[in-house]
Amino acid sequence: MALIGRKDGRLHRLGIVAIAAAVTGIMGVKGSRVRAVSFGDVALQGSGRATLKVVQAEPVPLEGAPNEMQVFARLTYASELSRFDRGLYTRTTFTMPSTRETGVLVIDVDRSKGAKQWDAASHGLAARFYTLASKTARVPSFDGSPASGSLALDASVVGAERAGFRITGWLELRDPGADRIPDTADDASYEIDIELESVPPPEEITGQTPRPPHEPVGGQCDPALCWEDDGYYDTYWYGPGCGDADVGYETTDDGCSSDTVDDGGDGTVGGGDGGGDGVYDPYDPSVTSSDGGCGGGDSTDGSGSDDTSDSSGCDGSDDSSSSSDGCDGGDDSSSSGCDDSSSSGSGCSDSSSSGCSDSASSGCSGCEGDTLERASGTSATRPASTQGDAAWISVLLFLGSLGAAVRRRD
Amino acid sequence: MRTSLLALVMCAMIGGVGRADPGTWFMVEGGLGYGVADAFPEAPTGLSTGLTLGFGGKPKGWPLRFYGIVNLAWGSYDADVTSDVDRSTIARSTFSYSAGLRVLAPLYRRLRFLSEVTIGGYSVASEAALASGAEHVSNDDGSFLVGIAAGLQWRFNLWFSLGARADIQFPTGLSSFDPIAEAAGTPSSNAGASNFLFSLTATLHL
Repeated sequence: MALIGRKDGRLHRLGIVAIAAAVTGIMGVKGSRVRAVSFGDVALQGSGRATLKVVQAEPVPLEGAPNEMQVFARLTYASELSRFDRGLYTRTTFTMPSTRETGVLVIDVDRSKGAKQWDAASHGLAARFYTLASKTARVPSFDGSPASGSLALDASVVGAERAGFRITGWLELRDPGADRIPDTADDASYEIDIELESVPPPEEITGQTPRPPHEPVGGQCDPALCWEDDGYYDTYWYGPGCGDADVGYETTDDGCSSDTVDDGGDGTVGGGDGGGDGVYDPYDPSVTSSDGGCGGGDSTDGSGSDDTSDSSGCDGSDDSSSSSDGCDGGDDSSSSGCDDSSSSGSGCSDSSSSGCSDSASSGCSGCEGDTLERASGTSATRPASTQGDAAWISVLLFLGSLGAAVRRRD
Repeated sequence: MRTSLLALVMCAMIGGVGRADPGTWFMVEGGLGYGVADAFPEAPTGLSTGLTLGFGGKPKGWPLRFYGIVNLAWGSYDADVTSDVDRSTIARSTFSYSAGLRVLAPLYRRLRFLSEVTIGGYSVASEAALASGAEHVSNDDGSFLVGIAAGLQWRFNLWFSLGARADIQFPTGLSSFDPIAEAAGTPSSNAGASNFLFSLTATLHL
């Protein structure tokens, strides 16, 4: 009898362990299931950079008074603050150098249905630019809404841990004045060139060379014409003043970056504005390549495209597992960035000054679309990290079951 | 129903077996006080209210009383935020629910020391009036909650106590980036780990 009892007990415990293992396996599989996430679906929040050129169009300032200024301001963005279900709310606050008023630019775009362009007349764009004479003023002296212009999603990327974007365009914001009737004498309007960029920017998330932030033209800050705050530079601190770089970018030009990152084509050194000592613009095709590689494999964000020893192919091309960390735009099994492995070893050797666009063997063209979601790109996919709750529950369940199986029967 | 019956039986076993004197098994406690919501970057302050339901008693031979409790707490906090270029007001409405254990220890005559440990959930609805009210934004957030409390109670009679207590709430899972505070110009990194509540309580023993 005692022997039978021990056998029954042993079978009972084995049964518990088997069931626990099965449940754990099922939950583990469920937890690690890969799901697709596009830029329009992902929740976004964080800080970024807003580079603005604000032009007072109406009323025309008095002769000699500046009507144009540059703004380099910290940006706050959060999808959960958007009025749209799948929107992106951005807010930039700065001091108007000419008037010392507080200027606030709010842009809220609807990302649903894969929208990547927004016109002033469309329902998918809600923007407002208002100014306050003082911190305590409750009534804006200017309160304009979009009258014309458009914005576009210049680049976006969805990584496993981070997502980034860049929105560019311009808007004319018009305040109808006290009479609230458009096109009357008391109207006022501003035209604003806009670049809104997350920090880190999309390129950095994908492991490519990040683009340096814009800086005031001329490398010197004229308080009357520009305004900048410390948050604009964030991790890219240039020190006080405008355009005096304290740190440079440890990047190497591979001659291929222009294929993978849309830089806007300013073609200048220093982030497009001419400032930034020691700042290297990797997108300048006129700059001689130093290593002939094809990607920013030396970037530092751990996004999966870096840490590769392959200095010739595009970043991350030799590590398919890296797709989960940023260079994940590809929706096929070769989503590891540049999937043209034939480029390995050659890189862009023939294109130090012209990029890789003419080189079919360079492999660089494979980066495009795989790493950055463009305005016309496909949705990015990412393997979701193991669902934390399910994983923990399964682990606890398994441990608890083991405890139940081995406990002493009283 | 079965669960409730089982709970009653278990509690009767715990609290009833050792009870030296007939007494109360239930308690209902209301609290009103002041809170510092340091878990938010702007550290708002305001009114906190709470309701505690409990069931338990004193095991035989033990000086301590044990109660299984459920805490419900509401908070209404606000703060003015001034940045270099902006001035804003942030209002937070919080609600928490938690369950755990309360232990009462007799100190002197009818004075008792109270301590609690609870776990539960925490939710917050935030609204900011940015740029001195020119713009309004709002959002919601939620978190797992760990709460601890300590206080004193004076039991006037079998049915009624008055006391004071201090609570520390640890909402462990609030978003590390607080868009409301950031939009108002306060860095999320200013947020602390916990909220502090100080309240006066009135307890009915039933």
